[in-house]
Amino acid sequence: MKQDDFFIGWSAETPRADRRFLLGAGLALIAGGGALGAGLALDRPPVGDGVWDQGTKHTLRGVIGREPYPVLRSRGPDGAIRTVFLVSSGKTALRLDPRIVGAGADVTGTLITRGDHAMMAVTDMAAAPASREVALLVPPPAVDRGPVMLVGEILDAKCWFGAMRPGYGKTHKACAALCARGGLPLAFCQIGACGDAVQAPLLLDADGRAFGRNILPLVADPVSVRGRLVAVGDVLQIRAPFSALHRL
Amino acid sequence: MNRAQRRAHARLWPVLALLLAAAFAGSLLVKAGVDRAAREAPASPIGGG
Amino acid sequence: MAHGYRLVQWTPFKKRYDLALLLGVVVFLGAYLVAGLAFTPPGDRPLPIQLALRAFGAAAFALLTLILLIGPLARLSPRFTPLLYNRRHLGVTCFGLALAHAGLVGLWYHGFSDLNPLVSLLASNPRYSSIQGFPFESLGLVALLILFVMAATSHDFWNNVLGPNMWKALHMLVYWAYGLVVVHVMLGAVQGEKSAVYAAVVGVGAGLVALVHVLVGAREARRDARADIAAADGWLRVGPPDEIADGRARIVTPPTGERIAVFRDGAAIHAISNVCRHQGGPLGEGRIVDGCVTCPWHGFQYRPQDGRSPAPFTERVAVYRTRIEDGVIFVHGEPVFGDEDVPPSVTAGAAT
Repeated sequence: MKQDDFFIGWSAETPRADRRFLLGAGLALIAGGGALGAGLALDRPPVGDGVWDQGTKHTLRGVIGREPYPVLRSRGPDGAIRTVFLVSSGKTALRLDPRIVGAGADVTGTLITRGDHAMMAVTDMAAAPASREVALLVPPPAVDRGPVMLVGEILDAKCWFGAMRPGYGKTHKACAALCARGGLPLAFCQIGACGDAVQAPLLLDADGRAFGRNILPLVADPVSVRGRLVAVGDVLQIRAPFSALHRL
Repeated sequence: MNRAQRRAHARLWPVLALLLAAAFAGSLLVKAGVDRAAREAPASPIGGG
Repeated sequence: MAHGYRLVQWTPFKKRYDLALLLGVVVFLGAYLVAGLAFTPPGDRPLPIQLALRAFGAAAFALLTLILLIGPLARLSPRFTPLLYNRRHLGVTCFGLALAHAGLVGLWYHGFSDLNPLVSLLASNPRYSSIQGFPFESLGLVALLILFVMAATSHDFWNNVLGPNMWKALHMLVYWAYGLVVVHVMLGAVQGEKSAVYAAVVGVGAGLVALVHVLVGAREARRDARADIAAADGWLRVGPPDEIADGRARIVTPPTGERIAVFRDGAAIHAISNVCRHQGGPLGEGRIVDGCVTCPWHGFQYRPQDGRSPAPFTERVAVYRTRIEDGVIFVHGEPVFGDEDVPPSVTAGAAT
């Protein structure tokens, strides 16, 4: 080995053999890094087609409901009655003026949609004049569709509808817990289908009310639930007592 | 490295390697267990109600 | 080095090294984002910020794996030694990537609520007794803190303030940080995966790191255990001078104390501690450049006759007495720290 073959980092000259080896190794590592990055990005569970279009504001007219979660019942473009969940822009529930509940209102905000689900991040709300059209939008009675036994995950509906992509699973657990803590609607997806499903029923207690904070430790964990499937208009619900929720 | 550092490395790594292997295998086992429990649970489809 | 500190002392090699590092990071992140956004149908496309936070995390893990491979690989083959020279820039970059990952996670998953993101991170999931449900975020946070301490003390200024032993002990925390990161990924992202690719990448990376460390550690321990035998008077047999190439050394292991590098500089035989004062680099794997023993790791230099770095540097390592008897070099196992030079032994044949 000649004297100049010896690598000295501070020297102006890197030995030729080292230069060649390091150049090859460097290029291989850079190329390998690119391949690894692309491979990891393509290998992921599905995130679904939920969308939060934050660039477009909509104003919808309908009737405000409060239980179990704030909603606006309004008529969609196709004439069908649609329930739009009302939320704030962050991970907290929307505070409703009690005077507006059950009354007609014009609600403005951005839409979060997935499948037939719709949610609005509300920026503005105003009382609408009473009309025959608005009067037709009163909530329909609940229809019991029988018992269900499901295995899956408790979701926060806002993220799953499209505020986050992906909006389920363990990495999203803390966020889901924050949303649940803030009083946002909870829903349920079946395991294996949480990514690509387009429908997720609400998860409520046996009386059709929202769960309290006792449900936080179960959010986003794999759980089984035994309860009843209930339809209220276009909204599907799973109603189950807390004791019927079990972690797998 | 000096003698003490070499000894520290030689002692640390077999332990760390075992811990890593155990954690790696354990996390995969847990995941497999949950996946199996989900498959085998008697679930009824939502539409079937 | 000991002559006043600049933030970074740029050398041509360092510039090329950092350019390659920058390119590597940009290519990895770019490939991740382009593949994740452009090669997926619009109905199944992650949000850019969620893709990015994953890309940063994956990049930090890949880079940390690479960093931890360099040390043992350099022990297995000197070809890898140049990669050690600027390794701390890799470390600081890795911390930056991990910080970006943590920052995006903190903002996106733990933000937008009335709860403090740190409280959310540590308390939103209380299942510390579960494996499947373990709050893996906390593991990542501890690893990030370790990487922060290391990045903050990566400069030679801190090596000098803390002393090389303390500094090395502090920086050996990186192994625990790596372990925490592996578990963080396995109990976090991997739990939600449908394919085995993520787990396989983690397994191969961590397996490789563990394997080379265990191999090299065992090899070095074996070498230390099989010390060269010292005579009763403390002299160790090194061998004939012509078995040492000019300007190079043979390393001997005394029964106690540090390894000794016995150098031949023309006809002169010098013995000097094998442990560089800077980061403990193996001086005996270096060579004599401009009359000074030069460390293969970062090029620190010592005069072989007194172990002192040439002015303006002030580092100093131990030197050892040598003698030649019947054409065989002997070195005495007791280090010399006196003010006098230790004169070299001179070979009779003056072999070249």
